[in-house]
Amino acid sequence: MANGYTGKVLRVNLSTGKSSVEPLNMDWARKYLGCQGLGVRYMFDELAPGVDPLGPDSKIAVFNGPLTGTIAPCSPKYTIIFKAPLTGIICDSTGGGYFGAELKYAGYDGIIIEGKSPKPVYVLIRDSRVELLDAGRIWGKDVYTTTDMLKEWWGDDAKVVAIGPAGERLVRFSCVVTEYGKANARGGGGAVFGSKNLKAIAVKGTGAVEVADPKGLMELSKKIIAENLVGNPDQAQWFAWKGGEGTIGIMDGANEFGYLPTRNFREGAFEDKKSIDSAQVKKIAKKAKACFSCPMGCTHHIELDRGKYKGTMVGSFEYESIAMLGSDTGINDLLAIAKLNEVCNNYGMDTISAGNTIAWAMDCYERGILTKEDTGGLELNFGNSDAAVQLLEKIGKREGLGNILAEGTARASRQIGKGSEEFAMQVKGMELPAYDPRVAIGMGLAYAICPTGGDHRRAHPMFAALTGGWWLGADQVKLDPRRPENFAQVVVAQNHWQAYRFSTGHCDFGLLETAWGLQDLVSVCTGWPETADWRKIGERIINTYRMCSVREGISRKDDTLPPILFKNKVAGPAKDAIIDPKDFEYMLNDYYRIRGWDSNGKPSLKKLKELGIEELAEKRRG
Amino acid sequence: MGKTILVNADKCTGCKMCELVCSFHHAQTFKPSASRVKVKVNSREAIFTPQVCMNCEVCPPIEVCPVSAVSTDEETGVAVIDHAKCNLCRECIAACPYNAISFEAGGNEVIVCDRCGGDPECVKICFPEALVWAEAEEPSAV
Repeated sequence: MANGYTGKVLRVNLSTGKSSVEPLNMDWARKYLGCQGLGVRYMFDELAPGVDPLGPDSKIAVFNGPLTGTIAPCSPKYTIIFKAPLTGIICDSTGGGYFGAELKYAGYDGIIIEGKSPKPVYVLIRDSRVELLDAGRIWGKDVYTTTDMLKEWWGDDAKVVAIGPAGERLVRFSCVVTEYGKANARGGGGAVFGSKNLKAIAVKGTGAVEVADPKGLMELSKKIIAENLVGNPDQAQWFAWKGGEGTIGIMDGANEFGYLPTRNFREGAFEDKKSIDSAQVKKIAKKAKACFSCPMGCTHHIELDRGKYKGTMVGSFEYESIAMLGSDTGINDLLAIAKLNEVCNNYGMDTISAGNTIAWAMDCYERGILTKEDTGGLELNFGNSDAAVQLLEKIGKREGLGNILAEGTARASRQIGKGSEEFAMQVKGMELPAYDPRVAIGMGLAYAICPTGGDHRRAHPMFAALTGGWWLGADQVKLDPRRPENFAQVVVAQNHWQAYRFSTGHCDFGLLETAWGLQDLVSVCTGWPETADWRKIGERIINTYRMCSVREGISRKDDTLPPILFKNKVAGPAKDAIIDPKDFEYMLNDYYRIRGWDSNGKPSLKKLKELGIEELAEKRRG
Repeated sequence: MGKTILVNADKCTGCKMCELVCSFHHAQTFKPSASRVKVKVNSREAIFTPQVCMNCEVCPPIEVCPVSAVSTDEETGVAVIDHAKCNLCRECIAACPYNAISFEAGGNEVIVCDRCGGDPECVKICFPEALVWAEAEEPSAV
C-alpha cells in the first residue's frame, strides 16, 4: 500500500486466545480516514445495539490515522473506540506519545479486541508476531510500575498502553495510559480493558509507512512546519521547549472571562488562580516533552523534588487536569494537584471526570447531602486537598464512598438523590471539562450535542465568541457570547473540522485553522483527492456517530445540560451569565435544522444518502 | 577536524523527527528502524538521548569487526561499513558505546550515519537544536 495505510487490521480474540490479520476495509478508509471516524464506522458493525459495555460481547477498537507514523507534523495520534461504561454510547478517546506510530510500523492500521480472557493477559505485538501473555505479575500493579515492567521485559523501546487498578475494578471513568501520563482518558475505556482481563498492549515495530507521494509529503511538511508552526506567532503557546505555556496557558483567559470552573461550577473564577497557573507550573516543570513527529512539544513533565509530595511524577500536566482537580475542587496547592494527577495516572483514571466527581462530592458535603459518616470520616469541604487525595484513592480501589463515586456523577447522584442530580455536572453521563458554558452559551450547545457526552473536543465556540478569533467559523459570522444566534452554524463547522482532524492522526494543537494545510497533508499522503474534503468527511463521521447513538435510544431528551446551568448564575467576572432554556432550545433547533436531522435529533435518510452512508439506516435495527 | 554533529540531549524533546527525515533521506520512506540517528526515549524521567556516530578517536566497532568491514571516513571521521565485506555478524552494533550502529530490518544491512554527505537532514529538522552541525573541537573520547 502506498497511501498511509498498512492495509491490515489485527483481530485478537481474548476468549479463544487466537489472533488473525484481515484486510482493512479500504472503502471505509476513503470515507472515514482513520482513528475516530474509521473506528466508529467499524464499531457500528462490530457492536450489536444494546450490548453491555462491560460484558464479553463488547469490543475495543484501536485505530491510528493515515498520517500517523509519517513526517506530517503533530500527527502521532491513535484512538481507542469502545462502548463507554460511563455513558452507554459509543465513545472514542485519543492518545499521543509513540504508540500509534509504533503500531503502524508493526504493520497495522488498527486492532479489534473481542471476547474475554479467562485470566489476566496482555498483548505483545512484535511486527507479525502477536502473543497473548500472562499478566499475573502486573495485574493489580499501578500504571507506572506496569509500564516499567513491560519495558524491562521487552526493551525500553517497547511502546505500552496500560490500565491501572481502577480499570481492573471497572471504575466507569477509568482510562488507558501511555508514556507515564498521556491517556486515552475519557469514557471509561480502562474499565472495558479490565472487563476483558486485558491489562496492557505492548508493541514494537520495525516496518515502514508508505505514502502516495513521499517526496511531496516531505516537502509540504517542511513548508508547513516552517510557516504555520515554528514561524507562526499564533502557535507560540504550544512550544513549551521555547517557553510556551502549553495547555495551562488557557487558565489565564478562563479566569479573566470567568469560565474557570470553581467549586463545582458555582463560580467562574478562582481567588487563588495565581497559585495554580502557568507561571507556577513552569516553576516546577522539569522538561518540555513532545509526542512523536511534533515540532512543538507542549507537554510539561513534572517531578516534585521536595515537600510533602516529594517524588510525585506527572508525565503530562495539563490545563483540564489542573482546573478540574484544582479550582473546581477549590484546591489551591499546585503540588497537591500534581499528587492528585499522579494518583489518576497510576490508578488509571480520567482527570476530568475524577476532578469533577470529587468536586460534586464536596458540593454534596457542603450542602449536608453527604455527611462525615458517608465519607468515612473525611472532611470533604471544598479545598481540602488531603481529603481529596484519600477520596481519589478510595475511588480507585472502590472502597466506601469511593465505590459509589466510581460510577460517575450521573449514577452516583441518582443513588444519593436529595437534589444532587441538579448539580451533577455531566452530559449523557460524562463529566464536563473546564469551560463553564454559561459564559458563552454556544459552548452549552457544543456539550449537549457532543457525540460522546460532556466533552470539549468536538466543538469549542467559546474562544471564538469571547475573543473574536481563533478557531474555525469565528470570522464567518458574528457571535455574541450570550446570544443564541449563529452558534449552531459555528458548532456544526467545528464538529466537522474536529471529526476530520481527529480521524487523520493529527493533534488538537497542531494545524488549528483550515487554511494551514492539514487537508493537503492528508490528500498527499493518501493520494485520494476526496480525502481533502474535511466538511464532507467530518459530516459523515458526525452522522455515523449519531446513528450509533440513535439505535441506543439517544434523542433530543439527552441533548441537554445539567439543570443548574439553566437555574443559577455563575459567580465571578461573568456574574450574570446563565443559559436561558429558550435560548438553548433555539440553538438546538437551529443545530438539528442545519444538520438535516428531525426535531428529535435523528438524521434523515436524505442526509445519509447525501453522505453515501444510507446503509446505516438499513442496519439501524431500532 | 571538520564539521560534525554535536548532541545536546538536554534540549531534545523526543519528537523523533530526526529519525523520520533520516530514514527518508536514506531509504526514501518513513521508517525509524532505517534511521542512522536514534532517539532513546525515557519518558519516566523525561530524558531523551539522540544517538549518532560521535567520531570517537578510538572506534570500538573497528576493533571488534572480524572481517575488517568497519573503518573511519578520513574526511568526516564517522564510521563507515564496507557492505561487500560485512558478514552481518553485528559485533559492531554491540561494541559501539553510543548505539550509533544498527541493523535495518527488511533492508538487511548494518547502517551508520554518513552525515548526509555534509548537510545532515536531522540537524535541519531539529528546531530545539539538540542536534547541531558545528566544528568539532576534539574527537570524542570513549
